[in-house]
Amino acid sequence: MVRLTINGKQLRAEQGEMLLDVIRRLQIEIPTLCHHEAVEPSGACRLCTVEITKANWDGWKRYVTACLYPVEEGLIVATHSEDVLQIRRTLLDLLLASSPEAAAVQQLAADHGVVTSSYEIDPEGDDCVLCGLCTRACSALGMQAISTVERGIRKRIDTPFGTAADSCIGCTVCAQICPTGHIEFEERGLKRRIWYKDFTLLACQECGASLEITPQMAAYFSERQDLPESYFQLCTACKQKQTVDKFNAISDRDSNRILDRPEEVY
Amino acid sequence: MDYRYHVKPALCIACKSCELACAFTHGSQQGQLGKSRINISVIKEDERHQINTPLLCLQCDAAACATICPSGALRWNEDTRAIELKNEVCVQCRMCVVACPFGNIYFDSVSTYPVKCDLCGGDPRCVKFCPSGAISWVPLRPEEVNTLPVDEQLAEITDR
Repeated sequence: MVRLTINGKQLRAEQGEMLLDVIRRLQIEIPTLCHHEAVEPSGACRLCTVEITKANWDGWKRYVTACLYPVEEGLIVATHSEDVLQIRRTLLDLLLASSPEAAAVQQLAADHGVVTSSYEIDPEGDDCVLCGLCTRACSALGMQAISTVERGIRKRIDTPFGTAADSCIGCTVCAQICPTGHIEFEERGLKRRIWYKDFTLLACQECGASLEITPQMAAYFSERQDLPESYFQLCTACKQKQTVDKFNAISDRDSNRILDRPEEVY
Repeated sequence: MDYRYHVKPALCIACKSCELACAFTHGSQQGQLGKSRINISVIKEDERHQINTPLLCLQCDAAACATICPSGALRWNEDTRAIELKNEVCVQCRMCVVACPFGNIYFDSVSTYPVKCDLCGGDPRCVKFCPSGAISWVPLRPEEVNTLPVDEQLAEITDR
């Protein structure tokens, strides 16, 4: 256990916990784009920057990303000081210039009083803020189908050589997890296309409805998580029908039959 | 003390009070309905007869949903005895929706996250609103606890 102070409030936290987790536990709102609890923090978006100091630092301060900074004994943290807010405004100002159309960026910027960017808008700017959350999620699941490619102003997210990646299982987690919704995929009926690769979705073995997962996902996750592939055969509606049959078999179907229109009895 | 849902299809009148109670409980504070995690299956047998079965998460001991979750978003909560989905950890892959052998996890297209019964924090609201006693939340004696996966338990019973 370590003792620290956040916005004037004294509290205890577990050794090794990150500042961001402790701050969010206090219900203090702190903006993030690249943070997700399913993946390791990376400090890419830097929006969670907070001000830290200690009683013996002689008034010196440091600005650190809360998602990557472990709690320390005697730490004094300010999450919304004027300096911190100015840092966040600058970051959002820059993001607004490079991703002018991204709704999540616009919203965060507006929340911080930045309506139009003071920088020159990037004419080729897209919604990707290069936070790398998609690539970290892909790696965390064990695929590594996408990564950042090229350097500097040409840096972007892509598959190796911009072609369909063998390791991609079409799970669309990258698209779901993207904070700005930049990654797109197409889904029509049982067809799904993402990252230049086409998938045919699994269909319910009873009624043919889409299970909304790919056969590659079923094969990969069943092995990774140790659950037989036989679990991925039926849609929700058909499984519910089976469950009803089982329930009624247990509790005697005949006695469960009730009158649809009881008024006819009287 | 461990608790279990006790479902009696014979008593269900398909009034859908439980579904409403669930939708309100999991809705927004402004009164917007959430997606219900309980669903009454109505099977019309003929002109006059039907079978109503309330379907809801059985909080399996060895749960397929929690096993398949690749990010560990579905976790057993010791206090509430529910398998809870933490949206902050969920990567929205939908494997749990397909893995549940009973069809009791739904994908909520509004929130874009799966939803499942969380036992309303240990005191299920649907039970309170059931007027006929078709669903109840009852303590289970330790000797009754069966640690087999629920689908295997059911297979055992129905094969008998």
